[in-house]
Amino acid sequence: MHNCEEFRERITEHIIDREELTAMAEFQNELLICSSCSEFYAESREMIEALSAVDLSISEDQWDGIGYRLQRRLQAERQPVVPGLFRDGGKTLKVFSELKHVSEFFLRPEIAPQLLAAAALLLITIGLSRLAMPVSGVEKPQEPASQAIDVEHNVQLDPVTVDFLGQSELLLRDVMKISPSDADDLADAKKTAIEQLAGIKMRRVAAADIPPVVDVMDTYEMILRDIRNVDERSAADDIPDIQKRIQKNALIANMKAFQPSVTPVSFNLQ
Amino acid sequence: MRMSPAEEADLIARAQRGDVEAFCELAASHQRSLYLLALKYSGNHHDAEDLTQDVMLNAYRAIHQFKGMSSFRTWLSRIMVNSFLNRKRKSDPLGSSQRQDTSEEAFESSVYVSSTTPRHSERSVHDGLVMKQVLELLRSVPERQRLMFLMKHQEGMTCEEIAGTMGTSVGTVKKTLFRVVDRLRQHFAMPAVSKG
Repeated sequence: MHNCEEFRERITEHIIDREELTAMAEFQNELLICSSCSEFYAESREMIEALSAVDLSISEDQWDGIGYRLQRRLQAERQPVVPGLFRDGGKTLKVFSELKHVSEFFLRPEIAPQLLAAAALLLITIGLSRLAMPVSGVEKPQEPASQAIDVEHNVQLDPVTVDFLGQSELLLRDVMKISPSDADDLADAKKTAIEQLAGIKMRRVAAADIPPVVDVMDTYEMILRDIRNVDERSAADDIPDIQKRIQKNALIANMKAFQPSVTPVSFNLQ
Repeated sequence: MRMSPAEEADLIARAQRGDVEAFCELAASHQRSLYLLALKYSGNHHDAEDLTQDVMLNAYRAIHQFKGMSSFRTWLSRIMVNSFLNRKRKSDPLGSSQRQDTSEEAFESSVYVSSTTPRHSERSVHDGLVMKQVLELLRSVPERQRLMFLMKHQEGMTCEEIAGTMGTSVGTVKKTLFRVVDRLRQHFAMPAVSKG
C-alpha cells in the first residue's frame, strides 16, 4: 500500500545524495503509480541540483586571507606568559636558555657518572648536617589563596586601543547592515564615525609598533571619512560602495583579529 | 588539502602537547569545507568566517579531550554544531527574519569576486540569481534543521552520522530532511535564462 509521506521520507536521503531513483527497482513502481510523488521527486531533484551547482566563487587569495586570519587567531590562543613572572626584559628567559646548554653538557655520557657520584656525596653531607638542626619553631609559610587573574595575550596593544578596535568592529558591522533608506541608522553611523575620526590619530600613534594594526587603521580612516561624508541624496550609491570596500578589505575580521582575547586563568603564586 | 590518517594522528598528538603550529595544519585541512558549510548556513562571508574561527578555536581549546574514539572530522562536526547553534542563540536573538541584507551581501560579494574573472555571460547572471534564491530559501529554514540538511548535502554525512552528531534519532533526522527538502522545493522556482 503506497503511503505518500512515508515514501517521500524514504527517498529524500537519496534525492539529497543526487541518486537516480528511476533506475532503482525499489522506488520505480511507486514513482510510476503516484504522480504526486513523481512530481515531488522531479521538483526536489531540480532544487538540489541548483543548490549543488551554486558557485560561491571564493578565490585562492580569499582562501589565503581566511587561512591567515584563522592561523593568527589560533596563535593568539597559545598559552600566555603570566605577566609579572618575567618582568626583566627577557633576562630570566635568557638565563633559562643558557642553563639548558649547561645541562646538555653535564648529561654527556663521559661526564654524567662522575657527576652523579658527586651529587650523591653532596646529598648525604647535606642530610647529615640537617639532622643536627633544630626543627621546632620553623613555620611553614602559608600558601597564598588561589587568584583569578585576567591574562591578556596576543599583540601588545594598550586597553584604550583595544577598546577602539572593538568600537570600530561594532560600527563596521552596523554599517554593513544599513540600508540607504534608513535615515536614523545612517545618522547614528555618521555620528559614531565622526567620534572615531577624532580619536584615530592618537590610536595610530599608540599602535605604531605594530604595523599591521596601523595599516588597518589607515584603511579604516578612509572608510570613516566616507561614512561621515554620506548625505541622504547620495546614500543609495555610497552605502553599497562603502559596504563593498569594508568587505573587500576584510576590515571586520581584521578589527576582530587584533583584539586580544582575555582568558581567566587560576593559579597559585608561591 | 587531504592528509593521511597517520599524518593526521601525528598532528593531533603534537597539538595535544601544545604545538599550535600542528593544530594550524589540522585546521587548514578542514577549513575550506567548514567555511563553505558556514557560508551556506549563515548566508554571508563575515558570519561564515566568524563561525569558522569559533569552531576552530573551540576545537583547539578542547583538543586534549579528543580520545580518538571517532574520527577527527566527526569530533570537529560535534564542535561545529554546538558552536553554530550557540553563536546563533547569543548573537542573533531576533532571528534571521530581521536581517534581510545577509544573502544580498553574500550575493553581492560573490558577484564581486566573479567579476574578477572573465565570466560576465547571461549564464553567470542566471547562476547568481539562482544562488541568491537558494541562499535566501536556506535562511528561511530553522537553524537546527538547516544544519542537519547542510551536513547531509554539503558534507555528505549519513543520517546515522548526523543523528550521532546532533544527539538525536535517525528517524528524526530523516523526517527533518524530508521537511526541509519539501519546504525548499515548494518555494524554489528556477529563474528563466534569457536566450539570444
